[in-house]
Amino acid sequence: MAGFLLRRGLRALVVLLVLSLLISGLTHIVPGDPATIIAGEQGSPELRAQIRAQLGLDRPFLSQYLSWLGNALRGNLGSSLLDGRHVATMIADRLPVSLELALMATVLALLWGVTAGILAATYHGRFLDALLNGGSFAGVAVPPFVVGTLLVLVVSILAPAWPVLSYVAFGADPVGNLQVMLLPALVLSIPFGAALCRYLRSSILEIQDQDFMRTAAAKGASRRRMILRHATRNALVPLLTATGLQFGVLVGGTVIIEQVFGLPGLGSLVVNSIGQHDFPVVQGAILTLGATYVLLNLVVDLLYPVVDPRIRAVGAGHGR
Amino acid sequence: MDVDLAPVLAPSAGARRRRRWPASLVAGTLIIATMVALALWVTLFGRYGVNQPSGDVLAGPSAAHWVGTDNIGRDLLTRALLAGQTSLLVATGATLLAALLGVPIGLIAGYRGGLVDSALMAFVDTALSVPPVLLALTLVAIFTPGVWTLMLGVGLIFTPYFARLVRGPALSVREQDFVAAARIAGVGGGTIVRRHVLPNVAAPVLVQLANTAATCILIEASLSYLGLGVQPPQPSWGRMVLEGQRYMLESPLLVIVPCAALVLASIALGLFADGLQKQLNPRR
Repeated sequence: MAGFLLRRGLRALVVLLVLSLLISGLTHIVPGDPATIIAGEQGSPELRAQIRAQLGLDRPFLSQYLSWLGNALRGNLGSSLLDGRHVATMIADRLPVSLELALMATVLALLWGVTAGILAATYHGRFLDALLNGGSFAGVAVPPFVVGTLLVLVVSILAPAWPVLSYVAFGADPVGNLQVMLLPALVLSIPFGAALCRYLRSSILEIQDQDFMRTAAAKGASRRRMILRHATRNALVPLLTATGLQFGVLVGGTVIIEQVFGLPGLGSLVVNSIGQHDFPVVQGAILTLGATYVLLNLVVDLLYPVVDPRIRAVGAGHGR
Repeated sequence: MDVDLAPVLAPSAGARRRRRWPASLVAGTLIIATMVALALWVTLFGRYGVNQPSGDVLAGPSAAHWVGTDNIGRDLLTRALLAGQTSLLVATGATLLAALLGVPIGLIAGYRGGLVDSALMAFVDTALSVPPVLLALTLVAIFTPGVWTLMLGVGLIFTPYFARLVRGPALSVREQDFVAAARIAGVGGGTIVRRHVLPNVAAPVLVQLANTAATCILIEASLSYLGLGVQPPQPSWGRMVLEGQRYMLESPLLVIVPCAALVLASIALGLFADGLQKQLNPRR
């Protein structure tokens, strides 16, 4: 048990380290020189050299990386090349928006994804199953930005009063905030929930063939009780694995959905900063997104023993 | 309706007697083939060039422009069809690159085992635990965006998926008696892998190729939508949606047409992958 958690924790650390190393390679191989961006095209070579020394760009890569890492661990992610604001402050301003979006999407996806999965398995081979199966197939195949854009179009035509592209903070106007966040969260939950539905359906169907299900049937358990009590309970572990895998899709999805709905989150910060070659911001923001993903998966790992008592008993690593 | 077309695709009477082709495989193939054919037709015989402006700006559907024109008067249908070429080019290139790099890595890791295996797989597992979009954004931030960056970046991102897929079967084939026999007979490692291991992994690799291509199309479109993928004037569906958004209340077709084309292509590739899986591995 402790060994399992330790291994997962270590892996999370390694992933973060590799990601940070990869992103730090950024400032080193980028074609555009950050010093030129700050000094402007007309800046004198001396000014550029001075800025380069200030940013530590004249030092070798490893030394740059180590000092960046040391600072990052102390919460200092550097400052924006454009306006000199602290990257950590910029991220702290925007992280709540992305987290709220991701949380709402996760709750929505679990609600309708699990319901649809159980329904599809219960009505296996019937019309409802085929309908849900086709729907979830389309849900995975259609990218969120398409659904988002078309939704914005339809809502602006049919319900012009609904706020679509006007973000308000939760603190300023809670109801308005939830109104604005509902559509993006719904769109973001589509591929997530569709994937959960497919996983849950197939794992329930797989479990149905097992001996203990026959025993339950022989005891006279109703079909409803068999699905809900016996099959779904056992399908929770694969469901949890699927949820962990889908968090990657979720993190990527927030980046795109924030752009579609004009939300001032971490994702739109990354996209804008890449466009402006503001590398310290890109570096900090991508690392924060990566860290969030790694943390979410660590939480999923911690939930395995809660959901499945057998993992607690054996104490060995389980599932991916 | 698609099922009736299956015998047409079957190459000979002998093949017709076999199991029917999965409907999804036939439908997916037909849709993709139609899209490719239409793009070719537009390139060769089309009335308009991709970037050729006409006098009509933001025009609605007419006899001259079947689904209208965009904000600088370019024919929307021509652009939507040719954007499919860009999309397929990126998807094909990236997928082939991922397979050409990933399959050998997986084969070597699985067949050699030991330290080589541990080292390669540690690398693969780390790469697999970072969300693809984050990797793509990082790569786009480093290099200038464009078709070749996309192809290379997305290809590298999917390399570990192929390596992981191939390694397992390679590992199990290594332990088989006939492989030991071949080795004793003096057959070299490379030949064993080519003759005995590769055929065993061919089916899952084919399915993975189709699945990866489907995902690549979505990643290309999403990155282009963010302005970080295919750059103008080269047409791409994502970029068309991005540029059309500003005018979509006046002429909704500007976003509807590229969205519809993208969804059609994505679903077609999804169906193709699904059908291929059924055809090659009927048990599941």
